[in-house]
Amino acid sequence: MKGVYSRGFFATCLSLVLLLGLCPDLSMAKTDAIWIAPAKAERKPSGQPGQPHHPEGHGESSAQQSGRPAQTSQAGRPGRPEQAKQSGRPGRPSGSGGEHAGHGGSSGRFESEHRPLPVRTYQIVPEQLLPEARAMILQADGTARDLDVETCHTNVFSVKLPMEEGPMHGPNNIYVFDQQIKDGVLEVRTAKWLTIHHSCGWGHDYRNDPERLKARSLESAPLDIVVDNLWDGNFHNALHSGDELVIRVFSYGKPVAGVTLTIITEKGWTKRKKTDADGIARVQLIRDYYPSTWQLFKRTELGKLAMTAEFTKEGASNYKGEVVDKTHYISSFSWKYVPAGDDYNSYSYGLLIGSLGFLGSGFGIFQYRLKRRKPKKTVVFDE
Amino acid sequence: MSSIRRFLNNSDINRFRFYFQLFAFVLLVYGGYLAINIGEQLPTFACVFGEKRGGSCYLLGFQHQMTFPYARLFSGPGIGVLIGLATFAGFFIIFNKAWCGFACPLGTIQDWLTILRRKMGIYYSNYSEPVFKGLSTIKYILLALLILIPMAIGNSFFGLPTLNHDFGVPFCMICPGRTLLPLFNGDISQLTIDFSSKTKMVFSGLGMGVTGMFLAGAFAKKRFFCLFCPMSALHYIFSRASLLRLTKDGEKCTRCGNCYRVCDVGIRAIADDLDHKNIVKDDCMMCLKCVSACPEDDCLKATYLGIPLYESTAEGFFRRRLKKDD
Ligand code: SF4
Ligand code: SF4
Ligand code: SF4
Repeated sequence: MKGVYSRGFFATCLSLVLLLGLCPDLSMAKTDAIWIAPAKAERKPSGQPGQPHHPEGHGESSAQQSGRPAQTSQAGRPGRPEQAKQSGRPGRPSGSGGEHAGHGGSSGRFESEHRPLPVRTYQIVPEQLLPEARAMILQADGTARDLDVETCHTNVFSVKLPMEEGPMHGPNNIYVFDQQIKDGVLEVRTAKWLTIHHSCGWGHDYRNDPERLKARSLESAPLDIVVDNLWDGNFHNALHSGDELVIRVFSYGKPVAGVTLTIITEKGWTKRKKTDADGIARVQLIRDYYPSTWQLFKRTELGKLAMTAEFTKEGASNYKGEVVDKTHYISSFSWKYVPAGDDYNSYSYGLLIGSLGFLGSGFGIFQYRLKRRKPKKTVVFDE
Repeated sequence: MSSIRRFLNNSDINRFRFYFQLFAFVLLVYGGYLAINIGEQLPTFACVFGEKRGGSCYLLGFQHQMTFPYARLFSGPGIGVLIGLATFAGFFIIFNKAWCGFACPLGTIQDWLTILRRKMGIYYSNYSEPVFKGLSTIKYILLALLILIPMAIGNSFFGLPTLNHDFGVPFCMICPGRTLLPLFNGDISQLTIDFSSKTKMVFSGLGMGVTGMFLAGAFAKKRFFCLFCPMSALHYIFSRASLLRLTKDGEKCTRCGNCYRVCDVGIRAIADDLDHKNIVKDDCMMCLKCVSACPEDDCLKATYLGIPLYESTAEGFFRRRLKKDD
């Protein structure tokens, strides 16, 4: 499949300029792409389709909606007492059986991070979604279904998730598609969001299950970005700064070569790559979190990452009776990353303390045994 | 039937235990490679930090559940906590403390260190009786702390501020299972000091210190860590209800002291206690070494649902003895 890249290149440059200068919120980076973002937080007892509803009530989405970067340090970090007080519960989300704690798991602020929620609500950014737009979900078990298109037209749509083990237990891909003819080119847009629906209470049958855990592509998606290794064998976000991203791009279920991929982080780092013959691009993520002192370091600090993939296909196509000779495909996907473990873990101190423990106890045991050794009694007879 | 029983009673339980422990170790540490998952609430240290484990230690989930505020603990999610505890108890009741003697990967590592020491010709250490008694209370203190510290995250005690989530799984942070068992999956990431917060730094420092102590201690003293193990304390709560039992007929005991001498944990009561029939003490790991070392017919026996599985017999004792002396 051959593409013409000039259009994609300019769109990418424009997005970068806007990103750095005007629009710090990545999920609304002003490319030609449409984006899916979690809808504004509003705590209500039950979610109605079409109504903004976000039972977790975290601040991220409202920050996104207002077009400013989410201030991860403001709204109470998971596991911090402020948040426990605010929400009246421990920072980590939980189902009946409870979630993991203390081992690098849930950030509590990243909507995609695993948790059980009965309704998830998203908005389309920017809001000029076209009337033909449709939304789909590719569920964790690999089955796909349409989402309510009507609710989609309000730019806010909800997905109901059963609060139990089932086809949605695991990573679910949510898609919005639309298309229009613009300047004589058919513009086909795809936005993708990935959310992980999991409660430890539903069991860990899928732990390390490659089938349930794999990053999937929707066969009917015009252009689909699939990133491997974003979560670990137990559904925790596993992307760290410095990691290598393995990005696969598919068009209608088939890998596409020569697609321009643009990766932008919140701090302005940009990388552009083209997919190889297998539709794969590998990008090493930058390490970009350097607080001035280690006391300020937060291992849950979330960095935002936005990706677009685009290519133009030459050839006549007919849309609503109008014939065009080019089709421009563009797709978006965003995710988050946390600092790498190496940024705050020290092996040398670990081994030093371990060795001290070993030698100290060894010496202690030796002394104890020495003390308990009974001196030989000798009886001397006075002849 | 009697020939099967005779065969069993004459067998070398230590050798059987060695191979069974090896099997259980592979199952619990590498079972994930074959998508094996025995259960999430196992009464043994199948460490959750090991990526390829074939089952999960109950203590991590239990500590996490203890972080629930009272309002959750005593409402719907509390049922999940009870189900977890009931599953743990169910697993435990089937095999009693034999989980420790035959299945616990951390117990197995300690036994391997014992073999190494023996091969090196170094004599083992033992505690005096008062020291043993004093140390064996530590596990109950650790059990209380692993409940109370997480509880202080979700709830304020006496109006004090709640603890932050870095205190979430305090025992896991100092557990040698966390640092050592992932090593068998090729994961060295737990051997670090975590400088991301002061709490993490202190806990991970303690964890590494305890790991060093564990290795030195288990080398010198058989089953060194088991005396302090809060899992063993939690076991003891359910031990009476178990289907597998270690029983003693005090009438037949001559107090020769063989059973005490071979006991890796150093339980004196196994020889001294002539009054109780169910002789499983809180530190016992049901290795059944005492049964195999007892020279009196039917004095010590392991029973399942009242059916004898392994009994002490004079014949078995002398056969094993002769084999050793050969
Ligand atoms: S660290 Fe220890 S207590 Fe925690 S899950 Fe692992 S083995 Fe169990
Ligand atoms: S007492 Fe020993 S064998 Fe039993 S769970 Fe604890 S470490 Fe394992
Ligand atoms: S009392 Fe017997 S079964 Fe229990 S640990 Fe000692 S030798 Fe093993």
